Amino acid sequence: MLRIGILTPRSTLYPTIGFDIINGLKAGFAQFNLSDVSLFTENIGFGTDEPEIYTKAEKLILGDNVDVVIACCDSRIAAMLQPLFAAAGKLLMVTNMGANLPEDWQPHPTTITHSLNFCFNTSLTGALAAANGTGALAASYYDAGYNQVYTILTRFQQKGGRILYNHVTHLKNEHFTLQPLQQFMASENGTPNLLCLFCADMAELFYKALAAIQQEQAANLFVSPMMLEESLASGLKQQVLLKNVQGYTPWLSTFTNANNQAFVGAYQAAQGKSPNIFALLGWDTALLLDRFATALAAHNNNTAAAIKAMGEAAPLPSPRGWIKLDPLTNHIYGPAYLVKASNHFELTVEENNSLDIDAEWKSFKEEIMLPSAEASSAWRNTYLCI
Amino acid sequence: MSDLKAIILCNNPIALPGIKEFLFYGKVGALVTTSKNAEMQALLAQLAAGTGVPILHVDKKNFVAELKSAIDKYQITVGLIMTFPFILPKNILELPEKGFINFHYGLLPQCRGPQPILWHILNNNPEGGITLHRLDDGIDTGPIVLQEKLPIGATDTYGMLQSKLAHLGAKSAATLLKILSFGSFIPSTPQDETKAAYYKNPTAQQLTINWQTMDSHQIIRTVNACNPWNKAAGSSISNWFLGITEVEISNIAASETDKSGTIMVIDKENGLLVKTKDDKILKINIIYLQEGFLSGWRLAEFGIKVGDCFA
Repeated sequence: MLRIGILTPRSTLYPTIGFDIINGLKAGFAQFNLSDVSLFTENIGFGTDEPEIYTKAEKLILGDNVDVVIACCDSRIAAMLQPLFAAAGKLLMVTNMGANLPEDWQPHPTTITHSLNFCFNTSLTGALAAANGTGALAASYYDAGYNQVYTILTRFQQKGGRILYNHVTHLKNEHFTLQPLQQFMASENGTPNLLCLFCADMAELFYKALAAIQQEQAANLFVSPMMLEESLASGLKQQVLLKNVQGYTPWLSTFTNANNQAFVGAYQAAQGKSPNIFALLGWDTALLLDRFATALAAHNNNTAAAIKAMGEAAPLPSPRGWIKLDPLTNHIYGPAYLVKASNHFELTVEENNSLDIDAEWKSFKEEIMLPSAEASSAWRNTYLCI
Repeated sequence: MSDLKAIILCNNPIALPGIKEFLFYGKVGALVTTSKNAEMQALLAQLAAGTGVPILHVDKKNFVAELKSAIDKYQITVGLIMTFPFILPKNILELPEKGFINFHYGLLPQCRGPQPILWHILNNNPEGGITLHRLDDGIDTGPIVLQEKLPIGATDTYGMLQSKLAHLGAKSAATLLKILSFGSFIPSTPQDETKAAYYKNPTAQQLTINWQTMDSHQIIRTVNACNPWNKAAGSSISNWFLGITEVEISNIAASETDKSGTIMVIDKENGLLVKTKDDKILKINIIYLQEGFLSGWRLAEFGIKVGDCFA
């Protein structure tokens, strides 16, 4: 029997995030016949209270004797927890959206970092946008606190793009304005290119404001994965005429592959609603734990050996297409899909845009590292509080 | 974090970023360095200025008594060793409630001993790192609390690696501070003795280039391992012992017929080019002589010419 602890997150912008992850996880357990598991959940709020997180992780290991802890946290918190898990010989599965880069890519023997690779996806979007030469960055105050901004800009510039203008919107919605950005767009000779990073209601606000501008001044929008989140469609379909929206994203619920159909079907049957991207994260976590349980049994309950074996094994059949454990980093990665939005925010995958994901992932790790051994940003965002 | 108070023992500037982390959070009860190390004394005084943290200067004869007194006087709960030349007796180790933790600026258990940075470079290891371990009565043998690794680049000198490790030490110190503050115990893992190796201080021979047995990569590593603390790696030519401080691979093709160590070119325009055992050409950029640090080609001013051979 696998004993699983979960440090579940809270979010203001996405209030159901913890439930969605756990529901996805449970649907996955049922699908993969992992019925013999015990779940122990601990709420860690926004994932920033370090003493609370450490104490709860310690309780899960010492008190509940879990084999695995799924920790919805970022790499800074993970660094704090890793010695505890190494000493206990237990798996720490760091689970997040991948909107921040790790401080380094060194693998830790008892840690797997499982994310939806948002930084990787935005880096690909940055490369895509660079073909158009110049552009402006538009981000919410909130989204600008994540490394996705760094990855989209870095790749854009590495591929020859040049940023001419930066527009960061205010934290409060009542102060939201695109007026300065509109002035910049009007000053451009050709069609302006905008690299856009907004999430949740800020994404909807941005799209609506931009659609009004686009009536007069068209722009090419290269957007972050959260701007391709399908839940946005309900607020946008009826009112907005958007143009030229595209970006890379790890997943859409409408994927027709068999793995995704199984996921969507199982989730709908269990929850009575379609899964969102957080539920996918839970489902894929179950998939990984299924593989881990098998590997653990095959390696005499040695967690480090089980993780090593997972890194040498074949990719796993995810709704994303597949996912792999990169043995050089112990990070999970998977495909990135170029998605375009129609005028009424109907999302379609560009089928003719297949990338060599292994090569892109390697290049991403090697070329878009955060500056190391320097003073690091004091931002504490974890993408859990979105 | 309210009850934690550390006594930090150090003797090298590599410790400073790590000490800063603890000072920032007000978790330092006392700083200790040796009475002979004026540089460290000055650096610590500067670092701790305005904090009220006492700085003790100790020697081999009095350090045990001084430590015992300080642990009691400043209500120390943990001891941190960040490079310290004296071995602590066992009866000291248990005095702070959380014991002592050593910052070893190398990877354990495979690189024990006093000069891990040097040996990681000399041994051609692809990565170095920092290991924090609990102090026991052996040398670098205690159970590991945490370890951080970093790659060693082809052009990394000892000094460059030391700087990187100093910053990595700050990151490790920050993590340790959290563990000490939030945890009910200090998690640690015993070292794998089957992978353990101990390296003493190097001999002069180990820091001397043998052009007949070393390939280009080994020569570069030896030179880098000595820069800057030893000024240069030793080398001899025409019964003259000199130092090589900086060297790089040249993209010029080597002739197979020339003997290893042969000077192929020596002039201002092209520099000092020397053939190696693996048929590469090394460009010696900087040499160290009694007369000073000079560009490699200036050996010509001392009578060295094309065709002469390094031993």
